[in-house]
Amino acid sequence: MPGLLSVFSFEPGWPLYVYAKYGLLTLQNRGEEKKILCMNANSGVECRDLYEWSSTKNISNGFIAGVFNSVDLDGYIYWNDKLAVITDRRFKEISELADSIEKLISEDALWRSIEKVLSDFNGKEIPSFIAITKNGDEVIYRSPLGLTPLSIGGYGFDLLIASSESSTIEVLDADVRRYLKPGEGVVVSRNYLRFFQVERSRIWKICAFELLYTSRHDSLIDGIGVYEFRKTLGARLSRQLQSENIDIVLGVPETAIPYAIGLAQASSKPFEQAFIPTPVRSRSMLKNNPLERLIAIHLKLNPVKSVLEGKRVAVVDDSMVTGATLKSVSQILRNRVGVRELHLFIASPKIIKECPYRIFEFNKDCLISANLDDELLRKYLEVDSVNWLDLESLNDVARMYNCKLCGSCFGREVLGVDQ
Amino acid sequence: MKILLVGSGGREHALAKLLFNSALKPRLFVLADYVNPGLKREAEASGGKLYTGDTVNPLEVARIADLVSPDIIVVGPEEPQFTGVVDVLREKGYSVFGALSKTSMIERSKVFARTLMWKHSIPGRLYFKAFKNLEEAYEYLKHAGDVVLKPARQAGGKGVRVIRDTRAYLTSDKTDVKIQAASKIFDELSRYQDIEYKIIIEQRVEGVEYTAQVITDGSSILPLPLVQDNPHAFEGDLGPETGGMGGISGPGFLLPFITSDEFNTTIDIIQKVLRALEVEVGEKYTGVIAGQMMLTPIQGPTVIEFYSRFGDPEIGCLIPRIESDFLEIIERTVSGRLAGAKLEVKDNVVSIVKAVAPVGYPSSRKEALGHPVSINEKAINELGCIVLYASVEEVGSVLYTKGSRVFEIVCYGENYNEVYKRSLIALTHIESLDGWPLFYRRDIGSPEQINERIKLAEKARQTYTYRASRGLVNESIVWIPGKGVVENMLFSTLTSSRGGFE
Ligand SMILES: Nc1ncnc2c1ncn2[C@@H]1O[C@H](COP(=O)(O)OP(=O)(O)O)[C@@H](O)[C@H]1O
Ligand SMILES: [Mg+2]
Repeated sequence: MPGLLSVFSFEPGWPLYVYAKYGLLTLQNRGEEKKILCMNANSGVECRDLYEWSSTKNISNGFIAGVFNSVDLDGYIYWNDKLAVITDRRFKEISELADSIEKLISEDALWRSIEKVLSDFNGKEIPSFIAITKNGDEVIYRSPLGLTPLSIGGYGFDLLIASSESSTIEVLDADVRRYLKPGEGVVVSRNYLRFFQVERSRIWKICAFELLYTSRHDSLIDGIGVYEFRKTLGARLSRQLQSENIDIVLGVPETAIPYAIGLAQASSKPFEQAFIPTPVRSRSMLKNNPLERLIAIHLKLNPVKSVLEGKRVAVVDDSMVTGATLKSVSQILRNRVGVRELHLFIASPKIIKECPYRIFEFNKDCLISANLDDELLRKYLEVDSVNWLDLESLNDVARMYNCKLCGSCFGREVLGVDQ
Repeated sequence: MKILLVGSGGREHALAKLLFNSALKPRLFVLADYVNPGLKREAEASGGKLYTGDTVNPLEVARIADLVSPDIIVVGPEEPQFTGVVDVLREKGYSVFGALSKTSMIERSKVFARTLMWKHSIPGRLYFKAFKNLEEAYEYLKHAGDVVLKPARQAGGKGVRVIRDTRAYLTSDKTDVKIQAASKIFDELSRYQDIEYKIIIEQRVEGVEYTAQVITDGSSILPLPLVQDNPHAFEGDLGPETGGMGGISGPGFLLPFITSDEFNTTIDIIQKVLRALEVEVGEKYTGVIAGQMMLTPIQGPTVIEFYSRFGDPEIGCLIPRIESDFLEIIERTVSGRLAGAKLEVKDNVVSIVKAVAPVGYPSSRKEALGHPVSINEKAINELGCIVLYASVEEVGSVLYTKGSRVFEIVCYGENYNEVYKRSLIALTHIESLDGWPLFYRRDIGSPEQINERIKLAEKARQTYTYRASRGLVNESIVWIPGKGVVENMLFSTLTSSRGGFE
């Protein structure tokens, strides 16, 4: 799931490249293969690799940008000299979408009728997107299904910032002003700003992985604190823990730490920071090349042997996709450190289906829980037990936070509803 | 009784309504710069008349005054005060409600107002520095830090730039932004000859904004209920600065996010300013002064700026809430008998005012100018809401936009939620006749917005009460390793300008 970022300035002279640079840095958790920045250059809109802009003189009043986890950006970006569009999932019809926006621009009706075009778009679900025109006008839109979040921020009388992560807005020294609702968008130009709402016919649901893994711990998704949500899931998971069998709790990798803290607090077991990363910013799950993924994992996992040796250890992770990270963890704990027992606690249900929205582009044959049964999984990972958060618990917690989650990949279309 | 009201906009229309609704049955005469249909109607209904003329020209205003021979003159806007309209009228013996050119300095010059507060150690003051020339401002801005840049003169609610600068990785680039902003302010202020300082650079604060308006006859004061204004053009507090897109008032004298202690502190600040002002300029203040305030974590009630007149759209918000005879209060003010006057407020009525503006306002007023619009006032009245005509002119029988906020719609009732819903319906009765879009802020007065403000105020309160209990009001200890405590003040680079008065 790519990360989207846009800035619009009502006043001239803002150092947009710097905002793009730091803004995209805050979205690194959403992809680091490609960073693309689109803004107005001399002859119209241009999209280039972020770094290719560093020496360009700023003539734009805004930009749109994205980070991607793939070098193949087909369906994510479309641009010509009149406008650029970036979506947050692959969209086959992106060029038709761009065409219809372009038509609005030529009729000078972008700000009047954008929602009509979006709601009529061949009856198709349009993903969340950001767009910029040659005039510097921008459109920011969250898909009616609401799978991924978009936050809007303001800075003084000068800037409007939109981002997939609310933390981006804070990092850019601005204030979060609102969370776009599903089907809600904003169109902004120098003299005009309007929030609009496209009719949403179906139920809306946030991709469960946004709350489980994708978002930064310090973000809020539609007002829900990601960190708290994760801690609550960790606490839920503790119901499956037989505390007489555990000495310490670890969160591996760093995305799992709030879960581990939640589980440790709920079960009154000590939480230990038992792995010290060699500082390279990288998210293992997102790496597509297996060797690179392994390199990233290995750099992260330097065990603090003294706290681990001979212990019965509960290792908490947010999710298990291919199991590669946990396999490495297990090997390190078993072979390099020597722990007495190793119990895995996974803070999400088993991923057994491909993502129908292709937010995650995994194929079924790469999903470990779709391929190995429990017994085989334990043996493969060389652990004493594997404990999953069950669907009902996730459903309960989502309901507690008053949000609906998409659980398609867990085999349940919507979570957070009364059963 | 005959009243002459000077001014042309929504504020004057609100005043006309307040004055007209009096047991004294006044005849209302208006001198406006253009034919504001609301003012015209109000005047004619009372048996008076609307004159058009140059409201900032003291001689012209005096001529109309002589023609009308009113018992009381109310000067609405600030510009006629700056040019000495009130001075000339008083000299001629008229009873005038409005600030003299000298006392209106409190609004005209932000440098004067801030300096006054420092000289008299009035609480709620911010650190600032003012500049007469661009080069010195540039030099200063290189190390200014977290600041706000403002035109040093009242410039019709625009030109202010709030440059939050609290992230080291963005700071060097923001310096360039500040320098450009300063140069723009200098350009824009070059058309005013009545001011020495061009730019004021002051400590940035954050918190919740509100306006406190206080009527005074020079000896006594009479505070009006608080109103909250919303300076950003667009929903969600986004976009450029405007003269105000709407606000809320009530219940009682307070707002849902301001406590009575905070209200009292605010009124106390304003009273101290009035006293200091009299000492400095040697004149009594007759009229209204408004403190545009912010409840900040640094010191609680903090002065952003002063108006020497009623706020617009703030005063509109009070029309349905004032129980007392407003004209009687004005009459007591101009005759120096305000002592003992009491303002009755409808406690169980809250109000929301929303301004409607043509697209183009505030950044490209030319584009916003000259569009025909229509309003179904009857339908709006039937909803229990009041229409104020602002920047709109009647030519023949058609209404045309004048470039600023066209209408202000005031709705009122027992609770915000219900009033809010009604105000949204009321706004559907306004239309552009040439397809040029009009806009307003949906969010003003919504439960979400009010809750947001309550949260923000609570955050500020938590910190300022802590600071107050530790003697850290607008101060913080600066300790430099190896040097020791260098200066016991916040923003040590922003010491107050000791330049004195202009
Ligand atoms: N010191 C400050 N810190 C933070 N924001 C400020 C400060 N001064 C002004 N502002 C913001 O700018 C707006 C306009 O400033 P103000 O001094 O009222 O000038 P104007 O005469 O243009 O109304 C205020 O309503 C407030 O939102
Ligand atoms: Mg102001």
